[in-house]
Amino acid sequence: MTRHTWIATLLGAVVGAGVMLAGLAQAGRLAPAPRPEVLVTLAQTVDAEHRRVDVLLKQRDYAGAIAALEQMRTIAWPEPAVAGDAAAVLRHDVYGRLVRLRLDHPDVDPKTPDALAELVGEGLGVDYKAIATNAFTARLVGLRGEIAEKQGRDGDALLAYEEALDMNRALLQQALAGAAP
Amino acid sequence: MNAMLGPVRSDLFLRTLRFGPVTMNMSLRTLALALAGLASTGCAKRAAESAPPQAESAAAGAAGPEDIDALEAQLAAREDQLRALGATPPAAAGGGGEALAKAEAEDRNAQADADVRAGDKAAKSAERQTPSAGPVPPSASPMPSAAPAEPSPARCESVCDITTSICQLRDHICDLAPRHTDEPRYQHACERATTDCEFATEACHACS
Repeated sequence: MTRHTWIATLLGAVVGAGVMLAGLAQAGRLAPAPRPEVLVTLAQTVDAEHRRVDVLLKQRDYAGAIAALEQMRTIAWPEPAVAGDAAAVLRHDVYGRLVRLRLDHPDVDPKTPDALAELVGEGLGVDYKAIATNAFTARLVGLRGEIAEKQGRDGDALLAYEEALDMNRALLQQALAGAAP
Repeated sequence: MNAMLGPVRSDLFLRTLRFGPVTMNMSLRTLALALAGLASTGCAKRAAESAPPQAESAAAGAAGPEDIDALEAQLAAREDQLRALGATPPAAAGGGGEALAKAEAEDRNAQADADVRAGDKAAKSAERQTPSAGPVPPSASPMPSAAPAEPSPARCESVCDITTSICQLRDHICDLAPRHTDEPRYQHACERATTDCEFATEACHACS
């Protein structure tokens, strides 16, 4: 192989690889590496807020607790591409607690079942099934079932309960096998 | 292409093209190989990340006989662990074996994601409030605080927390059944959930 052929071949490989990388980047399939510092900051924020909610609940200030968690709703939750799946799990924890409180205290800042269903959908996100099984997502899925019941959609409620049951069954097997659920 | 390679890489590329034939060949080859490797790594990583669990299961299903033997051996070991805890895997639980196999796959995922997935903060959060489908207040945990030496207390607590969630879901599901007596799926779901709740309760009791 002559030197010119070599150069032409290599240039072709370089240009081809570059074009492919550009295409993938434009298609949004090349996600940037997760940023642990964002996750740590988020986890600290969520933890602090949970502690505040603990105090409010101890004082039986359910309205305050709900308001605090509603405030957490408004934060800019980082995308999985930035903070990984753990960010979504933390979000499921916050939304799960909020929905549980709203269901247990329907007289505080009342919301319709449809609004609660929207809240659960917002918390779960569209791709929650891609996240590794965990207790927080399972709880929020179970709550989706409770809300579907309130909406009179028993079929959807059953599906949600069964989905949550499947998750919990998997978590139980993990726990029995010695893995952290 | 310049945008993708970046100015530094472009300059380096042009410089090596202009000077020394040996350097040029080596640099170009290295650059090309590096880019090809990067591209293929990127594709492989994305493919692995985007593969749904079903695809993973399908891949496991397509594994060779040696892999199946290994999986069966692992399954048997897990069942022994369950028996050692005093719990018998439910044969009629509508997917007991399936659940175990699923747990195997999820185990692997969990191992890979364990450090990131829940994190210390989430673990603390789990201690603070037991996630469940039912209206259990954070402080009203019915879980035993003491556990025998072999299964760790934390593990027993996890097992019993999950048991609470499973049995609460059983309650919800079985509450639906009387409203839909003409639809067998509600009754089946209730029976299955009841079996799950019994199995989980046995596991919790065996632990505590």
